[in-house]
Order: sequence, then C-alpha cells, then structure tokens
Amino acid sequence: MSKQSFSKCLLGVLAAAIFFTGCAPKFFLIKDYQQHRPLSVLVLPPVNQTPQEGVEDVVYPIFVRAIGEKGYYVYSPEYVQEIFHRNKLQEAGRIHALPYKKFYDVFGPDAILYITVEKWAAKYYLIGNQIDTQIFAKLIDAKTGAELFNMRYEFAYDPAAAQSSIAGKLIVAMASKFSEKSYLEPAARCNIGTISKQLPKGPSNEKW
Amino acid sequence: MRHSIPSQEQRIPRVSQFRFSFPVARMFTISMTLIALALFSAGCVSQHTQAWNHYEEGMLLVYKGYDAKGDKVDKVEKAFNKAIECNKDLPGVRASLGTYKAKKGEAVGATELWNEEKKLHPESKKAMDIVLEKNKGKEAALAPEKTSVAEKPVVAEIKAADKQKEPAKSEKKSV
Repeated sequence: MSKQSFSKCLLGVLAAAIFFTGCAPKFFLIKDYQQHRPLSVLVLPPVNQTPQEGVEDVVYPIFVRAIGEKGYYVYSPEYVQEIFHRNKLQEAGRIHALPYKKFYDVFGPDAILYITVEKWAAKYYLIGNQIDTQIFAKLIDAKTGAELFNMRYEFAYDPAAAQSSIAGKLIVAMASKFSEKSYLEPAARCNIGTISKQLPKGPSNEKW
Repeated sequence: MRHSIPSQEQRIPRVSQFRFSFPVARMFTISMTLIALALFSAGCVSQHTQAWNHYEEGMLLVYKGYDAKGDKVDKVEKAFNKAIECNKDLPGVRASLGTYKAKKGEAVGATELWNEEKKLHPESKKAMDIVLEKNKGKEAALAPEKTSVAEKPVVAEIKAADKQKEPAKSEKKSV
C-alpha cells in the first residue's frame, strides 16, 4: 500500500468517526445553562416502571458516579436514602411526588435529578439476544423548579456485541439467557454514559 | 591464534534484510504499535477514575445487599477507603462510608466521617446537619433502630408534605 492510499484510509476512518459522533441523541438543555449551572446535585432514588427487579439499585450508584465525574457535588446515595427511610419514605415514586422545595429545605442542593427507568426488557433471538433499555432523566433547579436539562434515551444492549466469532456470540447469548442480572450493570452503564455525556461539565470538573 | 578478520561482506549488515519487503508488513507493524499503545494507555487509568471506580464498586455492593459476615475484610469499607486514598476530595464518599458504619453500629466513626464531609464540602453542610445537629451529644446517629425516636423532628418535617401528596398518587394509579 502506498503512502497516499494509507492516508486516504485514515481519512475514511476519521470521517466515519465524525459521522457516528454526529448522530447525537436528542435532549433538552436550558439556553443559558452557564448562569444556572448548579454546584451540587441531589440525585433522587430512581423510579422503576419495569417488571425487572433490581434495576434501580444498579442505576442509582452508576448515575451518581456519572454526575460526580462531570464535576458536580453529588450527595451520597446511601445517606440520602437512609434519611428518606427514616422518614418512612421507602418507595421512590412517593419521593418523586414530593414538592421540590422540600428537598431544598432538607438537603440544600442547587439542583435535583429525577431518574425514571421506563423500559428494561430482554429480547431473545435464535442467535443472540438484546436488552432494551430506556431511561429518562430530568434535572431541575432546586430553588425555582425550572427545568435545566432532560433526556430520554433508548438503547439496545447486546451482550454478545464484543464477541467477534459466531461461536463466541452463541456462547454469550446462551449464558445471558440464564444470568440476565449480570448484564444489568453494563447495559445501565452504556445508557447512562450517553445521557451524562450531553450534560455540560460541572464547576469542579478538573478537581474530581 | 589470531581471530580471523571478517570479510567485507560479513561486516556490513545487509540493509535490505531489515527493510519491509511488502507494504503489508509495514501495515502490520503500524497496527501492532497502535495496539500496543492502546493496551499501554488502558493500563494507566487516572487516579480520579480509579477513585470513582472504587466508590462505585462500594455503592453497588451496598445496594446488592452485601453481607460482611463471611469475609475477613469488609469489602464495602475497603472499597470506600481506597476511593478516599485515590482522591481525597471525592464528593460524598465520607458520607457513604459514615452511613455504612452507622448501620453497622460504629456510631463514633460515622460522626467523624460526616464532620469531615461537612468540612471538606461546604455544599453538604445542610444535609449533614440533619443528623449531626439533631444528634448533638448523642453518638448513636443513624444507628440501627434505636435512634429512630431521636430523629422524629425530621420525620414530621417531610411527612407533612408526603401526606398531602398521597391522595394525588392514588388518583394517578386509578387512571
């Protein structure tokens, strides 16, 4: 291969990379976000609207990490949930229904993040399967209640996508049929990673 | 005996041997170096990422209902402590570790950790004070069961709003 054709090849790969990153999913972000940018974010326990058990327990820590890594101060999920439990608020649905001012009075955050897991279903095919996930996240200003950011993202996670050979795909597909729970984390991470990518960086981005 | 002097042909290395005879060979070396670079850079995860990895690991363990009875070292505490080691400014870790310790019954350690969190991150002052202020003098903040009475003021605070909202929720369900 000559030098020219190699550089052409490289250009092609770059173009493909730009093309794929260009297909960003839709989301809402308030126009003057920098003025409203919160210092601290209170992530509320996620509401699980799906029959899959244990999704919220995986989504919660991963979301907290994603927001924290962006550079916002995130309240410890265990601590926050323990306070709710002490107040006999076990279900996330009831917590979400509380007025936002209540959270500001008790915890004092700048913004509140509501998470809803809307879809979590495993589909089985002859060779391979996939897990359909849909998560909705909404960030509101804790003082005014104005919506700063929201995004609904649907993502089909394929456990066997990393396997290149058909035999490998088959094995992973078979295994994932029996241990559906072990794919909760990677599927959640993929979905949440995309959502948090759209959120602008926080004030302490370099520090954390 | 003297060593025989190498002939002219032997002394000069054949340059053509080290040259790429095919463009494929060149492509191969380029791709191999790229792969090696990728592997190398994957090994050096930044300290910040590592801290978050440990923190997340600990949180996930807690939410999976980890029980430390069988283990010599508490995995959750280990993960949280590692996270603090990696990044001293990591937000929320101390509050998490404190809550975990309080639930285990180590109230003194918990109070210390919450105070540290409050000092390091002024944003958390209000949240930490829920427990710290209400339990001033009492070491057993958030301890299993016993102190639920001590936190009654907060209970009343949130519950009042909760009761108002409850009928609204049942309406939603019927729809």
